[in-house]
Amino acid sequence: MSSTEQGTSSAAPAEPTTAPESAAAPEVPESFYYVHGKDKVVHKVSAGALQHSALIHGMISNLGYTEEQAKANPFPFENIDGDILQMVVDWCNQHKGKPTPPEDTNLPKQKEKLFDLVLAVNYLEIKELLTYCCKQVAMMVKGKSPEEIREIWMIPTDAEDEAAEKEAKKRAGKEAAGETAAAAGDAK
Amino acid sequence: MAEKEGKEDYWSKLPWELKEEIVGYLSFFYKLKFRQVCRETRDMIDSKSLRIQDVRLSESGIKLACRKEIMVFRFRYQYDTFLPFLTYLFSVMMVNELEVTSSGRWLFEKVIQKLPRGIDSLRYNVAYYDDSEIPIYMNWELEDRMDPPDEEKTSLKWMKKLVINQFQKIFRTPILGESDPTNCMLWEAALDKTKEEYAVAIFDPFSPALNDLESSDFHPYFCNFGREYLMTIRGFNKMIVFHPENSKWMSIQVFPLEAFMPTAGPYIWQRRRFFEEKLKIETFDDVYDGMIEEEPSFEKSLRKMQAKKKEFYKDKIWYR
Repeated sequence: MSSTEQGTSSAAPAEPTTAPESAAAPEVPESFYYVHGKDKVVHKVSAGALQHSALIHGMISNLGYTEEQAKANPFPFENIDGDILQMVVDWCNQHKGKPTPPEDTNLPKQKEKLFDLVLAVNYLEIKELLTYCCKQVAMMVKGKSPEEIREIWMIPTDAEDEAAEKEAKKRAGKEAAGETAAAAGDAK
Repeated sequence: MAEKEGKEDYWSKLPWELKEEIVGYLSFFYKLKFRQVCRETRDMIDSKSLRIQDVRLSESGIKLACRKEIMVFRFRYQYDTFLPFLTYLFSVMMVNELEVTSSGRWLFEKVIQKLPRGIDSLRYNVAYYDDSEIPIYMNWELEDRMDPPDEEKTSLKWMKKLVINQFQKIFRTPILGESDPTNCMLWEAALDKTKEEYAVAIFDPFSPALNDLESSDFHPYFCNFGREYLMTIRGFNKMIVFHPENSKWMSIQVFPLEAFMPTAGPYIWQRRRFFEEKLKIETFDDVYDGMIEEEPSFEKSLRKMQAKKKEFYKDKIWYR
């Protein structure tokens, strides 16, 4: 997304939702960047925390923004929900400059949020968090029968899948036939 | 993948790489369960190999063990139902140790055409004369000289070599005392020379302790090995045995197990006279032209065989 677009979408960044942690490195002033999701709420994140995300880290190093430029041009992630982005930002802030533990128990247990989080983290390329999330999804499978998994994750059975595919094909065939008939009518 | 009406299909939202990563965190037990969820999960799990620590295959069922998990499938004589499953398992699993009991051997032989590459060590159980089972361990890298190129490692012929080598080590030496070390080389050379479908095994079936020529009985270890193993495995339709009376190696036919009546199996092995009369006997000279002189001295022929073998393996790097 271009910088002009960003300017219209979030010209005046709202109150940053996360406070910067400046105690760790007092000598060199830490630089901050701004991100926003689908809900346009801007989150202020330190460069150290953003290092977890390979995508954002690459963007920062390529752009070379000053503090003012960064404030004026928050990184837009229109495909990520606001609450999911908040979760990601919180996680990055929590694990800023720290070695990542082998397990993370603070991940959401609800399947909707977890799957959205997996997609967001995959998009932002946060390797450690992605590992936790995938493990969490794998944990959901444990202790469940195939039918239960199918029900929880709303996966259609083979028969349902085939029927849906057939229907889709039929529909596409009908639509194509309708279009050709309309074209013939127009020609007449 | 189509979505259920009005509901969101969470799984299909994920990209393929993520799905693979998630499946990678599942244990083999849950992989097998997850495989049943839909077509996509089935394809995904089948595309990767399953790591299982120990597998025990017998006639009654198959036991799969991985870390703390143990899965047992009982066949209940419904082999037709289970054979496709077994074929699938052997095509995808990577096993640390596979144990095949003497009763389950026919299933194993039926399922595999070629030894699966994913098996690190194979334990083949052979029934002893008192029906107790004696394990024959086969690790693919037993000794320096037993390390063939990869394509040879999985062949049935190679497996037979290992079985016989191990058999010699386990049965013959401890039970009957030191056997002639060149004996192994003889059958190895014979196996190398013959085609896969017409493999030959060379055995000295007589106990070294029973040197008196009057005794024509084979030692029970041999009967059982012949009955339980050689006759049920593909390819062993000829066998060469050492004839102590005229110091000649002779070949005898090994029939598939079905050719014998249940009680006739051991008999044919115990009475030499029986098969001498009934079966076509070829001398060793017929198999190895010019290897044995007209009046053969056993030692002389062995020396000659060793020289031949050295020459045979001269350009085989793996053998050195």
